[in-house]
Amino acid sequence: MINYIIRRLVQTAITTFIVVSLIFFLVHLLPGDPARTILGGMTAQPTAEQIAAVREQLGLDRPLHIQYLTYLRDLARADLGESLVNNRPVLDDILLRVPRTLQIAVPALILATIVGIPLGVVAARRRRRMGDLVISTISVAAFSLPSFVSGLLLVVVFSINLQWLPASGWVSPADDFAGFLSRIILPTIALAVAPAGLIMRMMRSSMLEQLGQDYATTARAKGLTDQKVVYGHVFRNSMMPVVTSLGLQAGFLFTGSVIVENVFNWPGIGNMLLDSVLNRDYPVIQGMVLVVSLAFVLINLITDLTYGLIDPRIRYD
Amino acid sequence: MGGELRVGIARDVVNMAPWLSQGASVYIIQQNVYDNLINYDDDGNLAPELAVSWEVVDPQTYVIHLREGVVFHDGDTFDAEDAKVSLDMMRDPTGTSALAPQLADVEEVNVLDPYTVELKLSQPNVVVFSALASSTAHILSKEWLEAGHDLNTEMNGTGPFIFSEFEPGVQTVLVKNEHYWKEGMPYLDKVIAVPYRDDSARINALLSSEVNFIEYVPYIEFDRLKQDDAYSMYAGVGPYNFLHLNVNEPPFDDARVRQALNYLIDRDLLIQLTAGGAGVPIEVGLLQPDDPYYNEDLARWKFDPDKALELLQEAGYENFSDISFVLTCSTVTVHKDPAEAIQATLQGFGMNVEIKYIDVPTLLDYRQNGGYVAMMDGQSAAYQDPDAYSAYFETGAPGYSTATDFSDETLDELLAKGRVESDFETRKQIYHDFEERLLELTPWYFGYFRPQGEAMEAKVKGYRRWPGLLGAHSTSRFEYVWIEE
Repeated sequence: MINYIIRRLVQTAITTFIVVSLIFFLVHLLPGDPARTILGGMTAQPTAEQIAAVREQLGLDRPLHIQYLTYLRDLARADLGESLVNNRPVLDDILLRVPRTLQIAVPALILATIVGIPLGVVAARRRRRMGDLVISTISVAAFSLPSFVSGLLLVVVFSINLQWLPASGWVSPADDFAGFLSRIILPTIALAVAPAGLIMRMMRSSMLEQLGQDYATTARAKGLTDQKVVYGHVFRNSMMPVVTSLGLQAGFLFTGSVIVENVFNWPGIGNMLLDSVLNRDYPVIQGMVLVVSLAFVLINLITDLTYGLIDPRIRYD
Repeated sequence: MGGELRVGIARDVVNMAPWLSQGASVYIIQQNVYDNLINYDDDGNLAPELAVSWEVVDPQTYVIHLREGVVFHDGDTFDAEDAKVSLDMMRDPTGTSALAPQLADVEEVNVLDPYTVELKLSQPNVVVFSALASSTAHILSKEWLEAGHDLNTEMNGTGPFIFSEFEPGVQTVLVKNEHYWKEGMPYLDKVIAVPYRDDSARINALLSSEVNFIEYVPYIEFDRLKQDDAYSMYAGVGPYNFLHLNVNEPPFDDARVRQALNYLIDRDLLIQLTAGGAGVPIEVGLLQPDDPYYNEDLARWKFDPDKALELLQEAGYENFSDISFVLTCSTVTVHKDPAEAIQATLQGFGMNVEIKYIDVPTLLDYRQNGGYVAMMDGQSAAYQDPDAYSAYFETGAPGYSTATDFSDETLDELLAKGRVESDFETRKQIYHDFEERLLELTPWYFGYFRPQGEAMEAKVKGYRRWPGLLGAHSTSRFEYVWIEE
């Protein structure tokens, strides 16, 4: 198991290196110039002389391969650099933002799981009956609904019409815990809707497949109650594909937050990523991509290790 | 009177550096912290701020008398040395100041006494005073600048509010300056600016009382907010929407085709479709009808398809369907909506128009370096003076000319003449001649002045909006605002 984890971590390092190198060249290939953004964006008309001066100051006039090697050297020292736009250290800002995204992504994943799995079980057990039909229809609607639509609907109903919950914004839980809780509810639901639908679908089909297996028929034949067949045998075996999907969903929640954070004005990494791309703030884009890809790889690793817990036959060597 | 004003701004303030032109969202922060030497009164005329008066000693020597008894937020007293350092930074051609091109004729700034500075010019330039009244002409403290503070993250001005806190993506907080030089002001205790990039998030924040003031009200909400007693709405027309046309690429390498486009795209229809009916069509150039330099006799742009066809036929095209081009536009709503409406209009006449979408950094790149045949854009004049034309149409101008190699001797000469002429009537004639020549060349499709508005809860009182294109800068005067409880 230890060997397996070490091997996976080495793979992670290689994957990360490829990702950061690719993204480095890709962002530099994009049209647009951070110097131009620094000089004021849409309303400004800086002269060519001013742009050249800023490029020189930022080191953007150096050959691209030199910039790349400098970047790798700094990265090896865990130095992600500073934002070109406001000189703030990239790592500091990422460490500030990641927890805020987790504040909605983790509850969203939990919510999606505790809603999706039981509904999937119920739908499978009531296959082709009314309950199944209703749950399946809702689940398809849920994962087809774009999060900016569900987000806006929630705001219109609960913030503007009913005035129960704030429409947007973030406050630090340390300053105002009740305010913080009231603000995570809507974005968490908006973020959880689609994965809940998907998890429910996965659970239903996986469980139907297991219910048709010989061991389930045998269990029933030897007189076990339906209850015992489902929860004692079938449920655990049905979880394999669901866990895989949960792992993927966790990764997508991280990136899916780009849209939900925009609707709810949530100052997490989604908003930061969008700003950095719109500012062509190269070090910030690179830092964000590095963090997001690391998160993906680690979540995958955790998912793979979870299989062993569900199915003891799986060995890591 | 007092209170805490929560403001929903359209984009996060990423950089606090002075003298940059970063748009209205940033002026809300910076212009309430920094003062200018000169600003505008309620009618849009130049008015004293940190200067008490100014005089033209001779055409190349301007003297500015400064206000006494003003202190910076860090306690330092404002004097001529501070004005000199700030002016020197503002005119540095290799620095980041947006006003460097307009102040290029200022050769030296001399301190005559602790409250008087003198500007020596290489040639007369009457635009200097308007430039000093622009939203980026900030006055900083010499001692503070020399102490090596980080200009990107710190601010120290003489304005009504003191910069207190910046949390990226969350809020920027300003607190009342108890020692502000305007007696008894400001009224507000605190201004908290919260960024809402998304239009619906911003309007929802106002409707759910998360904030009590928003800038850039989406057009579709104008009427609703105007009719609702719970809100006050202030709006005017300021920025102009237009198409950059590449004069060196077919089909727009012929002035007649460019003129035809100006007759063929119905401005009233565009305003109805994309500006809630609240815009003003451009009939001449970039001066609004209430501008003292406006020339009614030149008004010509009207929807006239017959005339357009005539011009196209003179240019050697048989029919509208012989014209096809790519229209480049950014995905910003105020660009995308009119571009799509233009595409639909022109296709209705049989032209073949394809839209190419780009993001904002690419737009900025194209503005300077070209890469388009026709490109949708929206801008507003950097300062209230017809010389603002020079940012686009003078040879080498960064706003248009460099991108398309547009260059015209007559236009250059007239712009140069306009800058040195101080007699109003003579100057007016110069800009009339300029516009006449400009319309002969018609390098753009001149669209319309689009509305811009701010909305606030009815309890927010005292907001003053400037007329005309200055309107967009009105949020820089929060010293007049208070919240009625």
